Amino acid sequence: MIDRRGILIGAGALAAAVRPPQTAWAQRLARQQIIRHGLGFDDIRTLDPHMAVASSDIPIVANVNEALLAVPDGNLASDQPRPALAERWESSADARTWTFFLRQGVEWHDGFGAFTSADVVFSIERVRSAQTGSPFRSTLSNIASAEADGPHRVRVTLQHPDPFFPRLMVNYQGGYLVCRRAVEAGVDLKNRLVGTGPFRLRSYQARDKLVLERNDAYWGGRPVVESIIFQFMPQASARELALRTGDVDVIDIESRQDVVDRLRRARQVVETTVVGVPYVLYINLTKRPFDDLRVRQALAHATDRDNLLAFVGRDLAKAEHSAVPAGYAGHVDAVRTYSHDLDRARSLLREAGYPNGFSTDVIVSNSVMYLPIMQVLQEQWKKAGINVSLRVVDHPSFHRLIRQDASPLVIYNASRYPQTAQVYLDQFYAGPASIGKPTAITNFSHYGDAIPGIDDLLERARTSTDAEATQRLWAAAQAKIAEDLPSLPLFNLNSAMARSQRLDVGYALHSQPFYVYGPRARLLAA
Amino acid sequence: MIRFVLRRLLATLVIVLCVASVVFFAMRLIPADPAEVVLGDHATAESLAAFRRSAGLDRPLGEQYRDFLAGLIVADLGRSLISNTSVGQQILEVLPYTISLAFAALLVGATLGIPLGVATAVWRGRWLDLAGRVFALLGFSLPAFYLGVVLLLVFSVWLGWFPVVHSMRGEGVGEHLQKLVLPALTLGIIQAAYITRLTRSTMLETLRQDYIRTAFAKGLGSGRVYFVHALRNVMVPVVTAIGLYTGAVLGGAILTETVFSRPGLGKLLVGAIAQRDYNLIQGGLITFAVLIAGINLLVDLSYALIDPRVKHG
Repeated sequence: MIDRRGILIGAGALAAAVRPPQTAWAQRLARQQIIRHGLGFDDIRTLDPHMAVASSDIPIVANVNEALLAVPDGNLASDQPRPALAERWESSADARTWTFFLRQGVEWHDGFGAFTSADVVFSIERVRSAQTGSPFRSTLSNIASAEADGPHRVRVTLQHPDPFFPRLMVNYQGGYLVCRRAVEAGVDLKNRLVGTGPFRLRSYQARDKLVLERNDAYWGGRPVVESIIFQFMPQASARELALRTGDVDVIDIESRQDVVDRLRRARQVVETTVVGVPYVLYINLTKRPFDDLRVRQALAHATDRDNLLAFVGRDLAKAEHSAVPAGYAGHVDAVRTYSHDLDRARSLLREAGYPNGFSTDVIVSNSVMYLPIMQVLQEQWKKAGINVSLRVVDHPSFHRLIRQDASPLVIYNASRYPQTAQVYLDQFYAGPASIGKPTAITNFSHYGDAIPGIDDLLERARTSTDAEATQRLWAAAQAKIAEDLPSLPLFNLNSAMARSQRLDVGYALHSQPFYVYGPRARLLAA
Repeated sequence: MIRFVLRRLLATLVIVLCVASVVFFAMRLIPADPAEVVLGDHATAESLAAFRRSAGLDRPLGEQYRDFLAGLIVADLGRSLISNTSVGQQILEVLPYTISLAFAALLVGATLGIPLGVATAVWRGRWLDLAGRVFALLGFSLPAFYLGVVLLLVFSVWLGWFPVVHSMRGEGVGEHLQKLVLPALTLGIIQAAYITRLTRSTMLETLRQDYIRTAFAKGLGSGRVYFVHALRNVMVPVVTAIGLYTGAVLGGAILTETVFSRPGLGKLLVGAIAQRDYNLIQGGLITFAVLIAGINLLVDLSYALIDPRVKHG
């Protein structure tokens, strides 16, 4: 006879048998597929893909506009772009002529018609035109011509061979494609997006929110997500609270150990990139006393990276000694390093004629990215007799003043694309990039001019067609920089994003510090 | 009365013109312009020049100032240098949010502050007085961005009564009111602290007056003496302070709107300053100047209502 206990056990076993596995439950989709993204900014700067450099704009543009090729999801460092609006591409044997075969049947958003080779040629010329004033113009300077060969084929001829050229035609910076018809019709790309991507612009309310909606006709398949709301939320604590209450699904966060730990404790998902943003102290070689190598070496020996890493967060930052950040193609570790040694620092200062140390004024931004780190360095250097007075200014003022040679030391963090040694060295260490010149970029130390030699190495690397020789030249450049000390690489800080467990983006962040919600992104049921 | 109003309106016009001119030149003295902000660390000399050309910033300063004044005369505040949208339209879009917030905060401040001020004066030295003074001290000491986050933590995260994100465009009246509660409390509590202290000290002063003693002596009830005889005289300095304090409330709205991710004039202005959007900053500050001057005019006019001895000639 079956008793009541037996019936209960049997019922339990039956329930367990018919219940779907745990993973299947967890994968159930939420009924409402609306991603709410708390952006850590007050507003957009510009939505024009060929002008957008700010972290407020890049993630929005990336969901709407596309390029001939695409970086693998979350991986800007990859040298293996995948097809996007070009189905395939080929190059001549000398890597000077590149032909792209375009995807057919792709439509621009908002009824601007079919995507054709005319859009590609128009976009490339738009970036290259001085009239546009695109900050990415220099990245396409190697292009001699771009021609349409029928409606679905584009031929690009380069001035110098470049086996890495496809990396410039991806969905980032100067590689984005814009709609020729829309621009010619007078559409202002500053605040209106017209793309071919999985999402299109539905509405934009300045300083409030920007809403993207699903492009049902997307060539890569109908996206799962119906819409994405980018909510402008400049206050970090408000973003954190909103994530914890479920008011938003994903937020920008400061890459700080305490923030990461707190959010993880609150059972939110925090993803960090593998390739970090390099924090470097640039030393102006034209300003006394930093024109003396011994003073620069003393500064290097007075710097305690371990202490700095403990401050920034050991899970997030890795010490860096090379001028090319780890993760960038061509990076080498084998360069001269300077241990934290206060006695050595003091002795070098004595040799340089500063037995009692010296004092200097340094301009620093009030941004949390820079000020706390400079304050830590200030305390470290004081122990060796290097007394730094910090002149704190707001962030835009900082950018102007450091480009006017107003500070002997400049702390700066910046990623560059493509993530290769050539791009980084060209922009931060080549003589023509020295600030104050018409060709200035971000060479704050005047390296190459004040201390010559680097430009020759970089020019040879730029024109080399032998990959191994290029690597050797990059390594030689890094070794030379570590000897001459025009800069003090400090650490690479991984970027971080936080999201709820419900949001499945479909990939992990590698070297891309923001999410792009492709057609596979989805919200899971709670 | 009419002459008084006209004279004040004329003074307001002069003030607005001065504010506009100072802002116009001061903004251009601060390092960095919109081109540098938009192009960030990728800026090249060429891209900066192209941006400045397209925004008209490469023209002589005198010419820019002349156009600015000409626009001002016909109430055209120009276009945003960043988004190329109409400044006037952007301000009009967010103005109702700031006005409703300031009004609600004043309401909270006055509703809490005046009775508390009266009560602490009447029961001077008692526990209620102590509690009121502690409340006022806390209100003074807590900055809006901190109090706002605390209210969010308690009422949104722990209790779940209100949303954290106070974005509201395109939503109904009910939702607007719901999203007004926490920001209005944040600003209102701070304002209540000021009003409590001012009401208390003025009330204490008034209660020592002979006519109050006379009122008690002729047998009037204490409620009538405090709320009719004393409070009416207390209200003149309190209303003056509320008027003057409106500038601070609007200033506090800048922080409150940021904490609550709520649209408004303050948030608009802070963003415009960060972006060096000269036209938007000018437009925003002119609006602030007009609002504050307008409120002060209303305060001046209200004296005659509160105290019949005051006459505007």
